[in-house]
Amino acid sequence: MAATQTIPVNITPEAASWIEELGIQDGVDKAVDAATRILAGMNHLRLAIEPTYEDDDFPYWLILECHGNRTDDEVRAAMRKWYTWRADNLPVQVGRHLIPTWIDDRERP
Amino acid sequence: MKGRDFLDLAQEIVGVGSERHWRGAFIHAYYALLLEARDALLQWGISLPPRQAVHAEVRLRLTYSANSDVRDIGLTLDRLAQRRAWASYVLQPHSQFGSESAARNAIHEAASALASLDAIDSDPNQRATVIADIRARWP
Repeated sequence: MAATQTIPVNITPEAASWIEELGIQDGVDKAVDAATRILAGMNHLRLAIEPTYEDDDFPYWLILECHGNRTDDEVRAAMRKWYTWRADNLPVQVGRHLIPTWIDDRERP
Repeated sequence: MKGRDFLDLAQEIVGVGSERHWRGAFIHAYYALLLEARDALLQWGISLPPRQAVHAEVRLRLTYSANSDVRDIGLTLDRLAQRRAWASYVLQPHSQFGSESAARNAIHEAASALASLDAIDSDPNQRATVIADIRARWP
């Protein structure tokens, strides 16, 4: 996936396959672009899937793993803005698959 | 019994000292908030699907609300859901939230979200606006 602005975006093969199966590439592209604009201090973004273990029709979440040098608390307000963006711009059928997560790279071993 | 009673249980066990206890705290914090949110929606006359689909459907009705406080409750529930899934099913360590302190944070987040939910429920005007918005999105 091409970089959005100057922020590298990487996608796992499993996430790419899941996006194709769901047919939501356009929505994902918009969501990633919004995340790079709204979540200040992001260094890179990784798209990956995680099992929900919720036994409904959709077994995976598409995680927008947003990496930066800020704490989870510091980005909470920006996360709220992203959720507002999602509610205003993505239909439920698309937005339901997307969960952003902030990773403070300073804490990673 | 009420769903929030599970938050008391989370608080009781999170500091006992072993990984199974703080993993359990994640699980109970999530269910405390999920069940209270579910029961609030049902009391407000919002229909929900049965069984396992209720997890996603409760979160979506909150995160797609026009009310910013309700959306924030949904955001918290999304975060807790992710942590609950890991705590329950993935026995490998997690670099981001695999710790007692992260479990304590989850309890704090659930408590804050419950307080917000209670405030909305106790304000007739705000509650009516929230209900009308949800019904408009999910007729």
